[in-house]
Amino acid sequence: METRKLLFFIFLTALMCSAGSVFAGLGISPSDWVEKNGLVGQQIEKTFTLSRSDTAEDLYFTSKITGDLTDWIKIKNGDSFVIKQGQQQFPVNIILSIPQNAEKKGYKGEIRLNSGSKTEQTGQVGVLLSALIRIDLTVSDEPFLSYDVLQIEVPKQEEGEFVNVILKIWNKGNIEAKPTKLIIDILDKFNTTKIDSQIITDFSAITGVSSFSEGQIEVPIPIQLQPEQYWASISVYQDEKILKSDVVTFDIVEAGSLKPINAVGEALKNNTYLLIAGIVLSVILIFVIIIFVVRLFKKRKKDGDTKHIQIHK
Amino acid sequence: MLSHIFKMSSKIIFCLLFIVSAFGGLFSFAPDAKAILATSSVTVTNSLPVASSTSIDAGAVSVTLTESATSTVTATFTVTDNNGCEDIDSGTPDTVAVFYRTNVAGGAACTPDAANCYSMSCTGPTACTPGGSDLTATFSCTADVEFYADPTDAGSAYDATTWTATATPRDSAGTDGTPNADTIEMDSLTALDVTSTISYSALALGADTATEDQPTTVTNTGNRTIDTQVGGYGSVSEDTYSMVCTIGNIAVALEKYSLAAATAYASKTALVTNATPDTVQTSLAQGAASTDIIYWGMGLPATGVGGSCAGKVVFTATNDS
Repeated sequence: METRKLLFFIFLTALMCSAGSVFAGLGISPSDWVEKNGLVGQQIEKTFTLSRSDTAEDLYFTSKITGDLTDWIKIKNGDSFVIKQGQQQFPVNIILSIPQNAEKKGYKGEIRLNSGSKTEQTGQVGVLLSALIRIDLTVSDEPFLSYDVLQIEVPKQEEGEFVNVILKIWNKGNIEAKPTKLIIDILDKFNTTKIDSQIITDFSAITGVSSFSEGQIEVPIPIQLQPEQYWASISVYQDEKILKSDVVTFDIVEAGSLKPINAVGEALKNNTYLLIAGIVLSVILIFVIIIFVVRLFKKRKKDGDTKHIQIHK
Repeated sequence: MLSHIFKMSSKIIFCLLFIVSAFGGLFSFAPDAKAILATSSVTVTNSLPVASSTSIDAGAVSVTLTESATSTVTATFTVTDNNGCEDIDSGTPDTVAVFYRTNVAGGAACTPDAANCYSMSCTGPTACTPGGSDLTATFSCTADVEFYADPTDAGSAYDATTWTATATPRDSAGTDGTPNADTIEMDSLTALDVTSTISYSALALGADTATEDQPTTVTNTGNRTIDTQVGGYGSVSEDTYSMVCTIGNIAVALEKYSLAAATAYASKTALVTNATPDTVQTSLAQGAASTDIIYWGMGLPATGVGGSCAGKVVFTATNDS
């Protein structure tokens, strides 16, 4: 009886712990967030990207924040979220708010994004994947200027306007960023004859890009060009350091080509032949009216003279 | 009176006809010229094309890769040729673009390597109006970048450099024109895949799996060298069990692992709760097929459990420190 009982228990506890599940992979990009120059009272937002190669199913996530920064971190996507079927990359937006009374020192924290399937079965042992974001923050009171100029662009513009240089900037520092100097050489469409050269050093009227963010600024160059294609060789400086140099082509087009002067002007611009015909007809009409009025006036005068003569008969 | 109106009308009509004829004459009477034909010829010297305005992913801050897959990187640029845009790309070889880690050997002339050098596939020239007055055309080139392409962001092995797309234009002469380039950061991608299953054989109460292993294969599916964090729970996250059974639960520490095969159960490392997972020093390098095996064992308490059991093991990739 004892042997049968033992065998029964062995059978029961024979682990049905078949850990099943073949899972697709999971990645996080980037996984480390090192911020050495946070200012008290500052809010820093950063986007991380979860990715997976197998998108056959929805993938459910819950998040857990640990470490020194638990109360300072907010996940914009919420504490739980879903990567939908068919979606390979998923942005996770994290906001780090440094309190006004934060001590100036180093802080560390972790955000764990745990995946799980809603179709888990009981009786299985699952292999689950999670993604980890590690945060290393230093709070200081020192202003820190650090930014990259990602792109220099001169968009198509109309004649009569200043040439605008668009700078796309990635501000990695804790203060507003904008360059201190821009040198531009403008050449003809054959890139052989220099038309103008200017050095811009007054950026006081230009709003810079906010700390820890990406944005663009527009630098107007006080020069007006005729409709044509041009070359521009542009260098952007922070003090005497060149941040980016590039050579770009750009077009100046006729006034009204990009934005209509007004509704009537646009309508007329689109109907040039109609406009000419209208002018011609108007001129003809004026001539006819003048001739008609002159003839009528002469006729009346002539009739009046005739009556006068008749009275005296 | 009627005759007067008739006379007036005929004069008005005459005026109208005169004005219309005058305007018509303005547009229709053109001097008739006769040309005397003379033959002349000139050979136009070839002007080499120049690339400009290169932009990677429309001026994005960085390239974000996808685990175990390729991600498309696009470079656009303009080519100008003073002979006219029809001359651009009209010879052999064609205009090309290369996407490479900026400090790789050879630079734009690097040897293709999925980790650091890609020859891009280009479409163009487009936006060219034939006739000679239009000198520019645009190109769009793409590269399908592998998940293990070298990262260049802060904290990565190549954080002192970037990636560059260099466009080299060519025309009927077939020689290189003036190239143009743009740079971008390649983000770190920390990722893994666990493709094996854990399946323990039958165990009696108080017994363990001894040197018998249940392997899980961990693959690095990102571009950083990774270690692997492991932690377990029964049915609810951080519940301190490795499995929850029909009768009772099994403590998390009774499930064990090792990086060496056939390690005795007693010598394996006890699993911990997923609240504070252990880091296994897998040190998996980036690459197309970088794998390691974690060997698992199980023990049962002497009493208190029965029936079927279920649990979870959570795997997390971390950058190797």
